[in-house]
Amino acid sequence: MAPDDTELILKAQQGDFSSFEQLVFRYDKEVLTIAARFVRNSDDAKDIYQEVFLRVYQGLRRFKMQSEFATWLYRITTNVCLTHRSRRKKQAHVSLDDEHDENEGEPHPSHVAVSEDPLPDQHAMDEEISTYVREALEVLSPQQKMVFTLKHYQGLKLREIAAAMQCTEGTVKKHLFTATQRMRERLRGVFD
Amino acid sequence: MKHAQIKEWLHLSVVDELNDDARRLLDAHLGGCTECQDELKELLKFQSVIAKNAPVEVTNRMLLEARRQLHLSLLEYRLRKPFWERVAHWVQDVVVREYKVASGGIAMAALGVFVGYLIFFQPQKSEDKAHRFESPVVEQAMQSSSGSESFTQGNTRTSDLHLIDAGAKDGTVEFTFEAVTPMHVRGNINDEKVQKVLARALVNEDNAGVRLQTVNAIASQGSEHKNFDPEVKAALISALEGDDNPGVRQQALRVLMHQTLDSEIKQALVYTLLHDKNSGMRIAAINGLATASMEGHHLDQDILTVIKQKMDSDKNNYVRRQARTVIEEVAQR
Repeated sequence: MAPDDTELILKAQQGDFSSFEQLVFRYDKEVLTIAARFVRNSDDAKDIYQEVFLRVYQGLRRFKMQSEFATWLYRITTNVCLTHRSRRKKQAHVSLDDEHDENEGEPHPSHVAVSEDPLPDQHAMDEEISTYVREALEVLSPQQKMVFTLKHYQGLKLREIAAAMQCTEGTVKKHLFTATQRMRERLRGVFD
Repeated sequence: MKHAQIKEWLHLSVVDELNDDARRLLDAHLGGCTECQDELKELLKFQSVIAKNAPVEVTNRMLLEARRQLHLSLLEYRLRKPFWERVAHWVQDVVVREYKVASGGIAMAALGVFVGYLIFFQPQKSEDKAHRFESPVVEQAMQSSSGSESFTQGNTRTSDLHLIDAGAKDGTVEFTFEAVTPMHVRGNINDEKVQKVLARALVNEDNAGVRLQTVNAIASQGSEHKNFDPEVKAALISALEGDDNPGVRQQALRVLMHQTLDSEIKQALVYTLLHDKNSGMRIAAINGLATASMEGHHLDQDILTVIKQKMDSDKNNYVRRQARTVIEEVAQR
């Protein structure tokens, strides 16, 4: 049976590096996903990912397990995301939207020259809507964007988001409603 | 009921955050309000579009790249950490702990000796006791001198005296000062006590020339007493990793290479390979690791990861080539 988080944390706190890595591998895809959705640049997302887990590694000895590990991890992740400043603003960067994984799944629709898909128009339309949604997310404030992402794409409960962002549930609701309103205004007409 | 409240509930209901009581009230309201029914339809449509169009999915390749970078960063962090930890432990173990043990006695002795010195004006007596102000290692060495080495001291010089209280009617005075006693040591370099004194100098001395002489003196240790005391080894590793002078670092590395290559020394070599800006030092470090590998010492996965990284990215051709040799040599086993 796989060890639970507490067991891994205790071992990692005693210096067992492989337990720390096991712990990382349980949550790291989620952390990277949040980061990637927040910054939309693969290099920045990887920077955030690294910063998050370095902070976890440095702080794990002081982690008293008074909260869930996941809550603590989300707190660090949101902090790092919200304080992150892209180091690559002036460099030509690789957008996540332009990437596709050669080793898995279908290539990005925009890379398909001749499609055998029976519904190419649908693909093109979906792609267009996705672009609008991504652009609409960019008009939100960092806090609104974080709340919106955690709620709609990570499926966190409002109280979990409040714990991660160290604010009240009321503040989270306010950010979520404002974000939703602004997104709806921005996307008005796109999916009518 | 206010529409503002209903609108909030509508939002909460589409994200499944509405409690049962509020849901019942909302359902009752929706039955008779077309405006809110339309709003709910709009929100559900919006929700569905958002759910279908997640901004980005993380690919396995991206995740693996992130993991690889994190692994290297953590490795660097772990290699860097022991240096500071060692310094902290060194200060804690050597200065604080021993100081705590001795401080009570020393303070009392100091007070007695110098009040006596001032009041009774008998400098000979104070000189007899002045060695109590020496650092614990020297004091310990003096006390346990076995005969093969000698520790002798010169006259204690006092300076920086600050009077805290003077001129009281009962003659009480209170003051602070610094006392320095020159020591003359003659002993064998294989003697642990002598080595420890030199190790302190290696860590504390400001003058690079003196540090170099010190490490050279330690290097002259004969082969009959191969492994150093942990404190001496830690001082040599600190010098290898942090000394400003490349000569001191190189000599420290040379001395360490004559020790049993344990994980601490191997990590120090890896640290040098990763961080030393002097290509000569990196060459010495990779040569050390190559020797270790050829002599059958185990190089763990973390060390091999760094060597692989150096094989591809070091600025120096020789380091890259030697790193490749080590990797190939390990792979052939």
